[in-house]
Amino acid sequence: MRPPSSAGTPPTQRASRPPLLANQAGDAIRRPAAPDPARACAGVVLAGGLSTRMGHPKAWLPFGGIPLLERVVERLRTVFPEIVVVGAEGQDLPDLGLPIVRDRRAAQGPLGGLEVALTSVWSPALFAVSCDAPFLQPSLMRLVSTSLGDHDTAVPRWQRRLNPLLAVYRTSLLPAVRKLLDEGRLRPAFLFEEARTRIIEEEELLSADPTGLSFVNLNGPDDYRTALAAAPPRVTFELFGQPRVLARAGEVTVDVVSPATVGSALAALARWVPQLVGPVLEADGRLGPAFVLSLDGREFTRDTGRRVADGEHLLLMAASAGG
Amino acid sequence: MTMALSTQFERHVRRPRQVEAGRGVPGGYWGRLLHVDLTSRSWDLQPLDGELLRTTVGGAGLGAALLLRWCPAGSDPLSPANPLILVTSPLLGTPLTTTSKYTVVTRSPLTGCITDSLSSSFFALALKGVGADALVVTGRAERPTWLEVRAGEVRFHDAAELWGLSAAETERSLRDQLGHRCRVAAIGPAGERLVRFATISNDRRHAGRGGTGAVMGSKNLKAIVAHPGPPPGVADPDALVAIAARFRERSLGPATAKYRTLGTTANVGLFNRLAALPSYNFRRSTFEGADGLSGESLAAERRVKRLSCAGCTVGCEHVFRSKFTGKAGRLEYETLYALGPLVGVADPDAVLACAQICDRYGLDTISAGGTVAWALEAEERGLFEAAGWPALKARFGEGERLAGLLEAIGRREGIGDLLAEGSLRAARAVGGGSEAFAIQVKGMELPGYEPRSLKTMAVGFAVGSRGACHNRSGAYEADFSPGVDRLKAERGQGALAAESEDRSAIMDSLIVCKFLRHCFEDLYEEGAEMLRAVTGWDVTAEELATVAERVSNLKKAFNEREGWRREDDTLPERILTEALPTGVAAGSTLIREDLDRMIEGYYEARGWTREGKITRDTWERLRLERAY
Repeated sequence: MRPPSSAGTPPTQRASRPPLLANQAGDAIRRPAAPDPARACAGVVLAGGLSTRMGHPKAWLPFGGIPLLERVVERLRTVFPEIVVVGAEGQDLPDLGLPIVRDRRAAQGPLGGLEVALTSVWSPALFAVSCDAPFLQPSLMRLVSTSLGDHDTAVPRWQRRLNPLLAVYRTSLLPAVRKLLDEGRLRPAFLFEEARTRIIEEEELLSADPTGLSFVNLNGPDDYRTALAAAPPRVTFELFGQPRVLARAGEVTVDVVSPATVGSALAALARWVPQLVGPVLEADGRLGPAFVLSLDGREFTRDTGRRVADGEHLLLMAASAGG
Repeated sequence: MTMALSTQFERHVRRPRQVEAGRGVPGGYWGRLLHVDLTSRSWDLQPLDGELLRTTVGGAGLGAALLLRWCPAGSDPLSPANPLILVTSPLLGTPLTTTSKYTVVTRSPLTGCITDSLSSSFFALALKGVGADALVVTGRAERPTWLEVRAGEVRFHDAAELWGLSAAETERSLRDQLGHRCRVAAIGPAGERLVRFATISNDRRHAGRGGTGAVMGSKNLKAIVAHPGPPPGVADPDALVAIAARFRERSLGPATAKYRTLGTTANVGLFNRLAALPSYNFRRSTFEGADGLSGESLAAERRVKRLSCAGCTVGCEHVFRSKFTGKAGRLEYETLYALGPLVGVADPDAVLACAQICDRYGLDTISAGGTVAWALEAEERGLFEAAGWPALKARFGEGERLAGLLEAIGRREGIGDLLAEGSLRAARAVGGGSEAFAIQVKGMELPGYEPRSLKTMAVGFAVGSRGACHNRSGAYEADFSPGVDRLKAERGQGALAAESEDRSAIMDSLIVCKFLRHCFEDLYEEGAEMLRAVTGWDVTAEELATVAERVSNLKKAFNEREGWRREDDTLPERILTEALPTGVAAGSTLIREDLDRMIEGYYEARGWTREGKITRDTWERLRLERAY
């Protein structure tokens, strides 16, 4: 083949485009499933405590390389579309790009924070949590936030204690909260007595959080040190194809409770993203036959007994990767 | 639920006829081929004996055997002597899902090797209904012609008014004229102009690789119209319907969910993460714009519907609408790769527009993208001007320019006339060492699998009988499996590549869609079960495995006859000399010694000589002489 004798210019004229394709033997794209009920709820971090026993502002405590407040918010984001942080007046908090509202009445305990939270969210209910719960599990948040039914509030009872800072509240409770604050009755238990309250018992809680990681909170330096030492490895699943579409997320980071294996990580993923159970994961968290994992994009495995390390990335993909 | 679905299917499916006893032809076949000679405008039916059918089954297998018989040695691929062979299969026309496929077999004008390109849907069904197992077209018509074929009749028509139309326009025009029961396979302007990677198109599908469209164009044949008739009967309709019900259910399960959810577009994001997504003419294996081109993003922002081929329960075709032009078109991974990362284009609308240009002209998107990527790099290096060619005036990432280049190729205008020859011939014409970065094997441009990070695929590409092809060797499956280190080159990977080729060969001969491959518990056992029910033969898994091996060897035998040399089984110099710079495979290389070791493993697994020639023992064991 020889060059043309005269130098031409690349043609730029365009041919007419082909017509739209016929909808031959076709079907409509399946629309997304019904919205997750948990998404009708806001997540609220009550971060305005004084941190007296800790001796250091809890919101700023480093945990896993980020401030504790950021860690809690990161977990809330996996469940709730709306997130609000409540702080004390003048309190310095990490900037997480979220709305921060301030307590109207100082040092009134959780009810004080709840009062301002109930007036600040768009959602009809809110899930309240403190900023010192480093191991909060999305599966537990999802359980609690969808437990209201006909009630005004739903609160977990763990080891015989009610946990008002892992509870869900309807915004219609605002008058009741204000009344209690006006009367100086600051214990959340008073609210549970007066409102239509659903108690979520331990047996039910265990289905969402088998080891109770969500109930770990850090009151003093000893708690902090213990939690740091006992922190379970965190593994990030990178989701591709159908798993990503189902989870509506490209990455999910989970706490892997003992033993630190691929199997435990998958079980945590199944609790974290329940919509994967069935199409992708078996009911017990095992990998479905049509899927395979890659460890950090290198080795491929289906071995659930393989150990995983903190910070490891597991890529979850169809076994029919490729054409 | 499962039982109910199965029962429902068996109750409502159209039951195949039982083949008449004493007919002398196995179920699923007509036992003859239709030969049409365009030079003399004549046709005849010729018998296909049962032994040939049983030893090659159909599709790619029967096609390879027929090519050996019908293509005189040394024929120029674009000469009248090179036959264009359209082959159906015994499973076609039965209730088995994904079997509405046919194969186009010919000597490729791109590679000089055998090419067997599959296409799907209604035309395949119509072709089976014309009363022959294969259509062999020889000669060259004096002027543009279209063929009308029905059982017992072939007509030759003047195609002057169709010349210049796209395949889709041709199809629409002929079906408007003849009625919508007929089906059409046609070439677009690229085929007419003998672009060496032109396609044959039907029902919005393409026999895509190897330039089958150019062979059709060289014969002045614009279109083939098939009027459907009933397919031949089968041996055991009850058994067949039960098998069909079982596979239908599996085809609706998790093994094919990927294809229903996102189709192969799902590969973009994943391959990028695995550093297996070639970009910038294989200089990198990741692409910064991969997120925007990923199936997940496209589905969320641009998808409008999902389609299926005729008789398919998987439904892998995802149609996307351009936000820019509002036009819709289908996209799959290879097109996204070749018109996106490979040429540095990150804009999904630009890729969609370019894919539509390829559809309109009838261009293989992989070879088109691969050839343009080579040209963009040659332009960067100033090689066009140095060799006296006009400057390309395009750079990586310029979607608008890419569209112009594709149209120039489709019309063979300006520099497009050179690029229409494919990257290897263009590189030889331009020189300046540019053959080193013409990313092809035997002249066929690589699909979107980076060989340096997928070493089993690397050997699969190097030894491919039609050049670098992910459909004739699914060796990437080994790379994505536990137990294989995809970054290491071991001799044993040669055997894995041979195994993968054989699996592809049998799926392409039966013919079932490869997207069904994970629905088989055992491909050979269940493939034999299908074939028994259709044909009545007592075929076993072992026999079918031998057929698979025979088909792979027949293709090789054709290439050997046409002058294949050991050095043809290799990879481009870039792949063998440059390390990957980015992603999880950064630093990975594939040196020639490693590739040769894997190739030796492949030859050994095949029972060939160390130089890669078929041995006399293998020849006799597989009874390859039956093909002549």
